[in-house]
Amino acid sequence: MELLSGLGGGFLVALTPANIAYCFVGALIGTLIGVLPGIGPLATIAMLLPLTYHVDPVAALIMLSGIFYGAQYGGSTTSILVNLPGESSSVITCLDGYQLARQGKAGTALSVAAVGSLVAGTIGTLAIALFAPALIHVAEKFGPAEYCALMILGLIAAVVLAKGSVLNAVAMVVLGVLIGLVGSDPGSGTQRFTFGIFELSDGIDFVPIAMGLFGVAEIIVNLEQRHDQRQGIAAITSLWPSREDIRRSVAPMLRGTALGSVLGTLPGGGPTLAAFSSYAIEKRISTKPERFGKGAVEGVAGPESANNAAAQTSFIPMLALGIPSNAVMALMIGAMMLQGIQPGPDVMIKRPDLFWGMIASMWIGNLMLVVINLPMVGLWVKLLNVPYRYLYPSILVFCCIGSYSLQASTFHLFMLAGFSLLGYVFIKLGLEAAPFLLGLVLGPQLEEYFRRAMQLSRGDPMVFLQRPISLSLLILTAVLLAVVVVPSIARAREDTFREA
Amino acid sequence: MTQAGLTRRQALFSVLVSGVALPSWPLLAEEAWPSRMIKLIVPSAAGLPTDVHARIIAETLGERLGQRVLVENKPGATGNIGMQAAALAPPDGYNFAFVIATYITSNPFTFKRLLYDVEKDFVPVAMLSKAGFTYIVREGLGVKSVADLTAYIKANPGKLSVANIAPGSLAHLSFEVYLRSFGGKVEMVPYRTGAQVMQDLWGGQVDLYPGPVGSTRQVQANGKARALAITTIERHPSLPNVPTMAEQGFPGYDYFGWYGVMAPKNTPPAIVERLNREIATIVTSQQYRERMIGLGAIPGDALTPERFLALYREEAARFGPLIRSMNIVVE
Repeated sequence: MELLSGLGGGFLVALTPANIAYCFVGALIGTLIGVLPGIGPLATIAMLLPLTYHVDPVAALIMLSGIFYGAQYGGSTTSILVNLPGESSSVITCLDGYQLARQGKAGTALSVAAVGSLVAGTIGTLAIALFAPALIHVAEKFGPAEYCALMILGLIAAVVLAKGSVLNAVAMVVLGVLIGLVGSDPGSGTQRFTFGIFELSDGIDFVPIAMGLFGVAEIIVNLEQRHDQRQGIAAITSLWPSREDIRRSVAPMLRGTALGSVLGTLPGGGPTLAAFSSYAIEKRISTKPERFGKGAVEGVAGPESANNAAAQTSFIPMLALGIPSNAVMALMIGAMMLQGIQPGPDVMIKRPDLFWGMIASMWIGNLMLVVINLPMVGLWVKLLNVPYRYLYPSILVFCCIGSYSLQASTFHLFMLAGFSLLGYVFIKLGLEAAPFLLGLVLGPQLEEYFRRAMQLSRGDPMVFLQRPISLSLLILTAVLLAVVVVPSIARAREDTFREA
Repeated sequence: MTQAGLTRRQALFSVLVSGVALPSWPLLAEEAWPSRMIKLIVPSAAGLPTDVHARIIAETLGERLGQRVLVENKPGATGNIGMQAAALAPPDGYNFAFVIATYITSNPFTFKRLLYDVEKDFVPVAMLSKAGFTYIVREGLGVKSVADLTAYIKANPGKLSVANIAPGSLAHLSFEVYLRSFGGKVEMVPYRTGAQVMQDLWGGQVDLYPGPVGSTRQVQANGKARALAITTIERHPSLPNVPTMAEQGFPGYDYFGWYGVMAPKNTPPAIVERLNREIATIVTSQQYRERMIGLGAIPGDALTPERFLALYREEAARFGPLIRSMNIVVE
């Protein structure tokens, strides 16, 4: 009953004409910046912050959150069309989405991604409304040991993700972890691998790495071909998914949504881990795992639903506890503080209009996003018909703007150039960038939580086994590892790849 | 060559003449300023508490000056990146640095090498506000006062886990002073963000958090944590029930972070004076006071450039030797 009256009140707030307008503006801006590679919600919200000073706090937060989840919708577009992930959570969409586009099925991939995001957004919002208080207790049970076990599980899952040899995948994960260690030591502040360059002391930013490894490296490879043609892009066959595609997408969407809803509530877990795990699960349980990486529609439906569900539920720790689960949420808390609202566990009670109004607006926003995005699918697909000699310079310019805008410094442009070169070498050597990126994102967190857990237990490693959640996650990891490593299964795995 | 020398002499001459013949010259310059947008470089990421404080002053200053004051976030390397950018910015009265105590009184001692030099690169404009810290324990620990805490640490050396966000931060330093007063031993556990600490404090993972006053109400709201003391000499209006350290047997105990504005060296003194007066007017207003209290701070008291300079020199003299003796070194 409390839920119904809360939601009812929320819709009363969210459905005022002004708030509908703010919601729409947010969703629209979010879609646009999601589509533009490199310009993420973080930079956009930071730039728009001054505009919100004189707006009603609820309206301001409705608009800012619209930008955040709108960007999740738009982010898949460039991943699919030009192999360019705008943020870490859409990296995995590149794997099969771009392959689908190359087979002339860009429309299918785009609409599956949009519908998957709607399903996930709707269910994720419902999850916030229903379970916010309960999920908070789960998040509180997650101490450093549990996070550490979760990161180990994620890294092992990255090995399962890989197309080729296990050894290559392990090597790429380890390389990613090593690059992730660049920066200040989390304990002492001692500089590691920074060569005295201050810009490196907070680590290497993810954006230029992802754009370099995927987008720009792909451009270099394409330009090696003599003709003004991208490597084997087929003519566009269909704009909409076939009945077969839809049938294959439903279950991955629902699984991805469930996974994303849970992982999103963990501060720091978030959309990236959700997308990667969803892909790993879909590939694992598929009867034809060899199709993954070659244009499997499940490989788009699952992760896209997962990252959007996680994006929705990542509002739970922010709204219910005042704890930001990522940099964008930290910015939203800043926006609340600028409005004179102290975030924390009492926001739900003291400002029910804000809490429920935002939840209701997310529902409306998700609906708007599908209305904005589905008709655009045809338009986006036409982009593929633009001659490559016009397309690739624009992609390069956007990558440069995105990198430069991180800190308004040329340093990130050099990073972009360096990692583009590395990405080219990876492609030439047949190495995969996805496990590398997951290692890069999760490695530093693994180290941080491992060291903290060990210090809190005063050096007793049993802490990982004594805590039930941590133990369960580690057992799951062991099972996964066994599946990959046990010789008979590994041989069978190689066979499937040889057949493919 | 000759011509260049001549030009320079001429220029010098004309400045001298105008300075002598037109005593109202500084005033004229002052009236003309600001004729365009002013940039406030903030060496912190958007949305963090430092940025929130910067945006509040940027907005109110912009209204008073009739020119937009643009906040430019330049985060990185504990303020080094932004402070370097501000040090290198043209000292033309249109570039200023938003500073926090850490950049001025801690970094010079914790970093082996800095990208800026406080005395050589900057001149003070004004202090904006001060913000103290509270010592918060998890409820399950059974500690209800500083006396209890001292007894607990003495009885269980090394057992208490203390969350430490940044080695050498003022919260850390103040707690170290408390520990040294009775030779207490605890386990300092590094954390990256206050949010991580809150989660672990509520989950019973970590025992104590020397954290900002501004987040104290949030940490206590669900009844799983308790603030034992505040580190400033006076209680804070937002936490009337949290006693000071001084009230609990540590006379004169007064530790706080602060926010301020500095200008690149060689910024025209007239402009620094004018900006200082504008800031002083804002900082002493009732409206500003209320906003600061909402954020867990209080308006600053070092409102002339000279008093601001004296304050941070004193603070540096107080913390420098302490940091050195604690052996905190960032390469």
